[in-house]
Amino acid sequence: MKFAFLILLTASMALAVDKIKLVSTTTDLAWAAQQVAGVHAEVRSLLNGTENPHFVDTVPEFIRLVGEAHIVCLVGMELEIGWMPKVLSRSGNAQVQPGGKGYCEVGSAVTPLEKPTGAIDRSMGDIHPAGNPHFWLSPKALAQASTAIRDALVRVDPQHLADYTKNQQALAKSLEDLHQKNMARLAPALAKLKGPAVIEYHKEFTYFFDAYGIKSFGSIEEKPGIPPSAGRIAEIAVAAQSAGVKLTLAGEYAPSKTLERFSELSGIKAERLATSIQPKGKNKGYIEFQNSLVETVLAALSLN
Amino acid sequence: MLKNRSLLILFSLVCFSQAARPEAAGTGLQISVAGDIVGNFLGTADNRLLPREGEVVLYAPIDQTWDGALNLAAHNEDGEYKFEIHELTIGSSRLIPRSRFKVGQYFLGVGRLNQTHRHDWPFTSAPKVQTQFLYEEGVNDTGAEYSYLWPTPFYLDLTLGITNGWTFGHTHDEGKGPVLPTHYLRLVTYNDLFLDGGLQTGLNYLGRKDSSGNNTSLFGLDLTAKWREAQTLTFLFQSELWYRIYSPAAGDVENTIGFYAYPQYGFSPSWSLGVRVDGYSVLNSKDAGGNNVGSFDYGLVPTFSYKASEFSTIRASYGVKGRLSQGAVSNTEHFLELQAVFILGSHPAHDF
Repeated sequence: MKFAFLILLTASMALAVDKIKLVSTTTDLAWAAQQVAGVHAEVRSLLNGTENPHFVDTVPEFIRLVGEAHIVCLVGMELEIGWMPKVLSRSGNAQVQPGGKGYCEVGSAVTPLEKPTGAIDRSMGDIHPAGNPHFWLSPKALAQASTAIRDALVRVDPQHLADYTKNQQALAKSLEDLHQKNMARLAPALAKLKGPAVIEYHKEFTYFFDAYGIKSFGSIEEKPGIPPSAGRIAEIAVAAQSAGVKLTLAGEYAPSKTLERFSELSGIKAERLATSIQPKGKNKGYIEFQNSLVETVLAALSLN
Repeated sequence: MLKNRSLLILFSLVCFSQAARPEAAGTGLQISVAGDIVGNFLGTADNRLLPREGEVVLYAPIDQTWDGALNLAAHNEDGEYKFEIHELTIGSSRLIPRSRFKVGQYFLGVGRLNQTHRHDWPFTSAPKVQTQFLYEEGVNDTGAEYSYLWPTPFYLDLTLGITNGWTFGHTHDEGKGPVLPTHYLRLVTYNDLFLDGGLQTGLNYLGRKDSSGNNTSLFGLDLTAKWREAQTLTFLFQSELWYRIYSPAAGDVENTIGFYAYPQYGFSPSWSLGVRVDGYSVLNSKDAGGNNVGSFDYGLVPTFSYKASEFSTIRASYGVKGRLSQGAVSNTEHFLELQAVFILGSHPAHDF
């Protein structure tokens, strides 16, 4: 009996060791990575979905987790530039640093939106030269990103290539189905609109709007990452009201006083929403999270 | 001579900046320039605003194995601006698993302030414990440093280093070969705190015996706790406590303790207010008659900071410092400091 137990224990330990350890920066990438990796990987996200991924400290615990990882997936497009380079180098883990086979910058697989042209500098705010990095709010863009996750898994664990390929295809199909379903829900309401229906605080819903053909009036921020001045709030509030905008979308971490002032001046309702999957509440999985975003827009258009 | 040297350095920098233009992309070369302008007023200060330091940092992967960094700084020393190498290292975090190491000249990896460039400090000037034990600008020297991330279920990072030790602190002379080179270690761990906060704790040791046989041992504890809500660092607590045993080749051993504690509250992403409390005491100080004369040097420095972005800071501090000895307060001094810091170009990601 003891012998059998030892065999079982050894076997389970061997299985545990065989599993790929994949660490992602965001919960959305973790979700996609788990879908692609299936049973072959243990996936963990450094962030929990409530943070603003632009502004995160180099938490030592992140260094520990990355030090043990076989694959590290980042959004890329300079979203995590303020903290991940230090996490990666301090981990002393060559495999997951740029150039290593476990380094996976998924943004490189996505068709970028709002890629700046011409000269850029910091007087223009927090501009990302590679384009807007908030792509995961579009199911289509997340499907594109999942190919980079698949490629990283295949590089590290080529023996399961067939599984990873099959899983990535299944994920892409499910995301396409989700997109089609929500498109059908939104289409009648959007067809009745003549102008832009929404405005965002920071341009983090841009890919979501693009995926569903939702016309946006722009952002309350005049320059990305720079809190708007009182003058800018007043100016954009009047303009958005005149254009018939019905809803303001903002991340949960957007400044509440700014949003309140904007709503007061424009009469446009502001919704502070999760911008990533979260461990608790109604946004536990990507499908729930995406449906929740769609329902918020539908409710604002009074056609739900 | 100095002018010629400075011009040569500037010329080299221009060449480097040209190399970093987009058409030279693919080398990974990053260039960062920091400007630090400080004014000291009231008390014994010279009541004027001056550039304290201009710093140029270049860093990049050298190849698939090595990383290189060069940090050049020009700073005001008694009215003269001296351009010098602060750091020049070759190292790697990709060669030995779970390890980082570097060889060259660098600020020693002990404590908190010693490893952080002055323009990145949350306050303007150094607390007394820093200026007395590790000097205003910190201790840099040439040697080798190795760090290892332990495979534990919690964060545990050990740094060991040894440097020439011909000089200690910021000097411009060559120094003399020590009896025992400067050697140090640092052990760091991290704990999650309530409300998504975190605490980093570092234990430090540094020792050396100079050419005259004077032995210095430093033992330190540093704490950094942070709570962040989105873009706002809502609360920061930073503190270091150091104990020094100085054993001269001839004479009595001197035991000294010093600390600073800096809590800071962030009202918004831009505005924050902190108060630094300093303490410093020679524990076995004696008068001419050999009697113990305990004294305690204190400082209280409220600091108000405005950050338009992570690349600029305007700061104002109004502080008081003095000495408590045998129940009497002496050497009281009030001071006002103004500071403007800016960063151009790239800026390396910060540690916790």
